[in-house]
Amino acid sequence: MSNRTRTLLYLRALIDADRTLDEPRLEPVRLHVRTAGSIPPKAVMAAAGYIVVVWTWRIKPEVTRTEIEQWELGHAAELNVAENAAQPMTGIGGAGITDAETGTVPSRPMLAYHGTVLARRSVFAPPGRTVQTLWGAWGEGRQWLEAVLSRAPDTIQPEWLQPIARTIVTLRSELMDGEPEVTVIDPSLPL
Amino acid sequence: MFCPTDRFERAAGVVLRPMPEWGRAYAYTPRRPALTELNTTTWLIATLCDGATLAELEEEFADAVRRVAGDNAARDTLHRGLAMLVEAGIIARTEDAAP
Amino acid sequence: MSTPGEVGGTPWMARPMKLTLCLTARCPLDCRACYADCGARPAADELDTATWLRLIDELAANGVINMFVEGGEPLARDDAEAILAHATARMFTTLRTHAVTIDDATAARLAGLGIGRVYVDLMGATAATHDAMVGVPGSLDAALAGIAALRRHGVPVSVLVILCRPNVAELPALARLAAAAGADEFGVLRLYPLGRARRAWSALALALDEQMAALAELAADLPAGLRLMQSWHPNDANCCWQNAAIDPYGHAIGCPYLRDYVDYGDLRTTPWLETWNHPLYRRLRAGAVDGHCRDCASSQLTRGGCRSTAYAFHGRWDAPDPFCVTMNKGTDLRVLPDRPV
Repeated sequence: MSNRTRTLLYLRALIDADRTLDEPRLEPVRLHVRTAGSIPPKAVMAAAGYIVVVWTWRIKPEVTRTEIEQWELGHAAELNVAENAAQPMTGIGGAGITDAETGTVPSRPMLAYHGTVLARRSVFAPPGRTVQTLWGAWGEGRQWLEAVLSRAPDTIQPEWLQPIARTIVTLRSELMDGEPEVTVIDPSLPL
Repeated sequence: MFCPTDRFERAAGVVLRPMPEWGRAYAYTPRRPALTELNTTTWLIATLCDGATLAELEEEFADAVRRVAGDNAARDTLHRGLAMLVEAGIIARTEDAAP
Repeated sequence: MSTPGEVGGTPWMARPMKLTLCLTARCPLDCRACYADCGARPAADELDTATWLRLIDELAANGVINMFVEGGEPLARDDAEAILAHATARMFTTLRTHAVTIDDATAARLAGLGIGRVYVDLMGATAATHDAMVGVPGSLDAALAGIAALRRHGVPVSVLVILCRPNVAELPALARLAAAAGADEFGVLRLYPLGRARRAWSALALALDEQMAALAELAADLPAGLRLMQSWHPNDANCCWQNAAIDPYGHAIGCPYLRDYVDYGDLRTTPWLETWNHPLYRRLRAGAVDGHCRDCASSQLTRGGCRSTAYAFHGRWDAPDPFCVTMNKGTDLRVLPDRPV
């Protein structure tokens, strides 16, 4: 079997498995999706009632990774305000919590952006046009997160959340192809 | 705009590096030094371009994607992808060699 | 039977697609932070032209499509352009240089060879700092002239700086200088414990908070049109899974930053892909690192950060990278443990 035949068989199988024919795309290689922040350890998540919301979404064909990077920078900047400064995390009942790994009280913003990463087709590899955007929240941040992800910006209080919600609108309208698939990782479920 | 008798092949010097682990391929274009990532669709089109005519490409491409796209959608996708590959210098259009 | 993850690393990659070719340890400069320890070994020990050309053929045949050529000073070899020409015909080729010997004619030839991008190391924004760091008066002016020549011939240029104590105060000025010179990218690199930099560590190294403060100050006032590249969180991925490199003597070393620590095989006698399966190489690619930031969404699916610095500071391949704000855990980066290399 020639290399060409083998490649064509592979590509047919891949396209069949995806059940869709992607828009043709070429992209410079040097770009990388940038991410920011990190999710707390699972034990801390569970103690603090920390939720993680994951949007799995397709990038519009004409959108480049650079544009996603630029969006990320803007979104992260809107979250980086005094009202959302990192503070010692408290448990669901209001008591302080301690990170079992470090023995310290973790300090986090109540509303966090954890980054946008390439979603992977399989355990092996990142595909390209499907990405996952992750946010996390604890305490009052859970309501803030619900608001910025689902409501019209000018209807949201407190006001400092409105610029954040506007960046979410930008994400949905300018970068996203279709609707996101939403997954909520809730610490009350087994992690 | 392409003609059915146009032929398409890998541009001179272009190196195509399949990356099946990622479902991607990479093309190096030495005449305009750049490295470009091809998604599954452009990779498939580039692989089919071995001197075939546009009419042959349409047939082969439609056959390759028939489980996920009808003939019209396949043809439109092929033309868009081919235009991108030619523009990027990865695929070259050649004169029709047929008599 | 091995799983794909064990063979190819995490994330999985069956064969490397890019490689760093450390072409030489010759250099006209005398840098305080020289990683290659230029001049320490006789130039005659380095691979000859024919062997480099054969190796480039072997790399191309095995799927390498992106080559980063560095030194020493690659252009210090008489056969540098012949080797670069061989590479550019087969793979996207970029060059790291001090640029001090690049005049208009050299720049024209490099453009003609199809070099995709040139990375120029500047060690300070002023001649006083840069020239003192590289040990040769007039070097900053010569490097800027080299950058100007490259830009005249349309070669994209990135300016690199190794962030260290002598130049930390000049970082914003250096970014402005890079932009004014026509660079479209400014790469701020951390100091690596290699070669002469290792021996001069206490004079050169900054504490992590000093490094992060310098980066924050730079990011707040980055010149328009200049892209910032930096290797600290969240860009401190563990990239061993995809890296390959060859030292000037023909040894596979995985990454140029591992040059003092590993030897995966002598490519004069060992097929290159065989070295990809060296047990230590496979182990590092597997990305098993203790104390990494679990569930970190920033690491681009890799774990634990740079293996070179982790090993240098902790003496273990599975230790976390102390240049990460999360994984540092109190490690004073100004104090490099005295370990045998």
